[in-house]
Amino acid sequence: MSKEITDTTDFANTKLPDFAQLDFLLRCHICKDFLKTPVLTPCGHTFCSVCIREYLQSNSKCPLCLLELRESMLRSEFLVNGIVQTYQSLRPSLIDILDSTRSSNDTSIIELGSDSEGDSYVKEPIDITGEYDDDLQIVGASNKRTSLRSKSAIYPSSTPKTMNRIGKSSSSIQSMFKPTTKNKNLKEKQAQCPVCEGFFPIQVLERVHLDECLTLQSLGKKRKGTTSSLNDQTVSNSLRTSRMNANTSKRSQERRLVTPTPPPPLPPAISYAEQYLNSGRGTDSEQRLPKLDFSNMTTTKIKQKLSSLGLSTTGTKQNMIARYNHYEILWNSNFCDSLNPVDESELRRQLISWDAAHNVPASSSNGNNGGGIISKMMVNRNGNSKENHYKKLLADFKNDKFERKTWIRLYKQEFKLLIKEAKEKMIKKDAKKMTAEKEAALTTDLSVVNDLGDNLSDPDLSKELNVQHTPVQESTTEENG
Amino acid sequence: MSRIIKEYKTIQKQLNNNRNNQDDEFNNIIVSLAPIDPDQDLTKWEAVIKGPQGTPYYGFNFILYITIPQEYPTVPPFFEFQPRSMPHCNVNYNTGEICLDILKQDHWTPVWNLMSTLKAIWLLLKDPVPESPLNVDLANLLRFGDLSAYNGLINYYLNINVV
Repeated sequence: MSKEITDTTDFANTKLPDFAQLDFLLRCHICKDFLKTPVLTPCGHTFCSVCIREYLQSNSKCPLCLLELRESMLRSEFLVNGIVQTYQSLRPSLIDILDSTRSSNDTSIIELGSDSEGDSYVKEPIDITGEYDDDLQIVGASNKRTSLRSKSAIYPSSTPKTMNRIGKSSSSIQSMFKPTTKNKNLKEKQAQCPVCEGFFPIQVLERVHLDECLTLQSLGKKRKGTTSSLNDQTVSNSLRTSRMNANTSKRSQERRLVTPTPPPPLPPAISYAEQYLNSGRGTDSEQRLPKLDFSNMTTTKIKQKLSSLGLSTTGTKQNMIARYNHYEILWNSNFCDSLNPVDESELRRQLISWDAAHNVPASSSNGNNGGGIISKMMVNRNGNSKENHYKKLLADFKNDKFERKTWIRLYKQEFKLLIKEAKEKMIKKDAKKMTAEKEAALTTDLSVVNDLGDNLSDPDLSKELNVQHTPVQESTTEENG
Repeated sequence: MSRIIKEYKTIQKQLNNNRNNQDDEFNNIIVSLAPIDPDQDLTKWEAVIKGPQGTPYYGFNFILYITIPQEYPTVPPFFEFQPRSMPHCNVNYNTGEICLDILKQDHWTPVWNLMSTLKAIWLLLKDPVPESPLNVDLANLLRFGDLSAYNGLINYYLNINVV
């Protein structure tokens, strides 16, 4: 929960309250957050991959229309994925621009159209719309912006300040759209050059330009001898830059710079549009993790299966089954649905934090010493001086931003206490054992505990310490015997 | 749990917005909906709703207790009226248990949230279903169309609570 909790009501006080609908549509109905790796059901509904897979473990129907639905029917939706990501990156600035309480923005929006200076700013997206209106990037970026701006000008908020401006702004709308229509008319008589992608009058294109362009292409290849080995994208890029026409090359650069973010913030590292166009590659490079029939499996077999996947084998059989099932969800949603899957180790990390929150073995909740301390750690923090710090840290507990080192420093005392307790417990248990072996056992125990203490630099492990209390002891006794 | 945090924030915002906005039919039915102890425990909630206009419940406020299970939203939240406060043919008067299909695992879907479920319960107050009663006396009166006795009995129950 590191990111701010967003909500459709964020648009309620903006100039375009209806934007809440788009905001609503791009959310998963299960987690109510923006769709993350969306998948499509046969009945036409879209959910987060992880959410719906989790839901389908206990029910086999669509949450929205209650039609029958099985996990194998889900299909990933790369387009929606791109739309949501684009929207998410745009959203803060969008709200900022639309915020009706800020009058400074109010003027800037109107001025765009009426000011001669603002013209260049407006021109850019329109230019692109005219030139590349079949391009996907425009759907993501410029069109949205243009229509948005015009809408906000047509339906300004009811403040008298804006009302006065209507006349001015509506004329500016016309001026805004004039270039577009002109450009479109022009385009009808023009054609796109298949080589350099620029628009030229058909006659010019057929007679002169195509030859020129092809010559340039061969020249470009010669000049950069290595380009032939590179992929198409780079070739066309190098071509574009090598074009003689300074104006067109500038435009093509502009085009490549067009990213789904509005002009003021820096463009993101990845273009969502490009990501979408390159989607579908290598999706089946990774194997789907199968569903297992646990009813026929012994605990040892399950343990084997889990450890072969590098997962923890602590807890009861039920815990292990739940752990495998959740890992299967994470795995399949990551490798089958996601456009840019993360590493297995990251999946395991996600699983561990899920485990800690949802899959606590019965033993630790039954008043096991260590479990008591951990939960006390969690609860007693309130009202403490560390409270805020702790809350801030805990907010990130389940995601990548979790600061392990700070966490360890914060709980140094408690961790030490845990180690001490573990030591005492082991000694106590060993005392019951054969007196002859007592001394030897003690030394082994302490070395193990010390090892544990060293490993405490890992909070996950220290968390597992309470979970693993019994297993740790078992392993020690095994060593002894 | 992250979903319940999200819902909590949304509900707070919505309830605040609704106070300034009288358009929606449902705007004024929810008096409050919040966790009993927001700092410690987000699994125990309390809600107060108004009785719908045109029913014997009009003019009264009703308290509901909500328990959010760990698996929410895959499994439904547990709603119940304050015991011995709600005379309704689909509510067990002594325990406050509510008979509503969407609160059962078979009919619940994660698309519902606390707010929409609460609205569904409010609608149940408006349109009782005597076919699946938890309060047989009221259901029988309703089934045989004895509305004056039905309304009278509800009024009686509501007023003994006031006193």
